[in-house]
Amino acid sequence: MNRIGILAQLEGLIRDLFDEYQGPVTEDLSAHDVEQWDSLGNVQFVVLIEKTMDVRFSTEEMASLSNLGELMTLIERKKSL
Amino acid sequence: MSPSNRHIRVGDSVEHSFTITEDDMRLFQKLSADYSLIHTDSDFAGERGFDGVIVYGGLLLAHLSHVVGQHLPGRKGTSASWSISYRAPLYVGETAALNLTVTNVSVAAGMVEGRYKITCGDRTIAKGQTQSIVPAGMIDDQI
Repeated sequence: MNRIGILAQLEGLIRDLFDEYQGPVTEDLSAHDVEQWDSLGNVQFVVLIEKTMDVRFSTEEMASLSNLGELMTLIERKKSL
Repeated sequence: MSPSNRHIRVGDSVEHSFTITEDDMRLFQKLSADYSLIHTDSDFAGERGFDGVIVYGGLLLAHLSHVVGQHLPGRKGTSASWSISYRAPLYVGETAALNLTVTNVSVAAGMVEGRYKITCGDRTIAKGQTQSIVPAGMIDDQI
C-alpha cells in the first residue's frame, strides 16, 4: 500500500471515530487539532488501525509520534518488512 | 479460566453462572426507577406472549460488570465500551451462564477486547462486545 492509500484509510478511520471533526485530514494533523481525539479516543484509534491495517505497534512507537505523517511513515515501514 | 495470575492473551475466557431472584428484580426496580410492565406485571407479560416478567437487561449488564471487573481483565481494568444485543428473554429464577472470551489485545493501546454471550440452556439471551483499558504489562501479545 502506498502513502496515499494509507492516508485514505486513516482518513476513513478518523472520520468515523472522530465524527464531529469537519476539517481536512492531512499529514500535519495531530490530536491537538481534533477535539474528540483525547486519551480514550487515541486508544480507540490505535486499536482500529491495528485491526484494520493488520499492523502492531509498541507503546514506545506510539508515544514517539507527533502527527499523522509520522504515523504513516511508521505504518509504511512496518508494511515493508 | 481467569487470567488473574498471568498476562492476558487472545483466547482467555471466563464463565460465570447466575440466577436472578425476585429480590434482585425489586432492588433493580428501585435503583433504576424503571417500572415498565414487561418487568413488573406478569399478566401484561403474558399478554405480550412471554412466560412471565422479563429480567431487566440492566441486571444482565450488572453480571457482565462482575465478570469484567473481577475476572477479565479484572480489578485493574477500566471499561471503555460495552455493547449488548438482547436475543431472548430471561425469566426470574432461571440460571444463566455468561461466557466472556478475549478476541483482541493491543499492547500499544493497553486495550483488551472481548466477546460475550449469555445463555440459558440452549437459549441465547444476549451477546455483545467489551473493551477494557489495562495498565502496561498486563497484556501478552503472543497470539
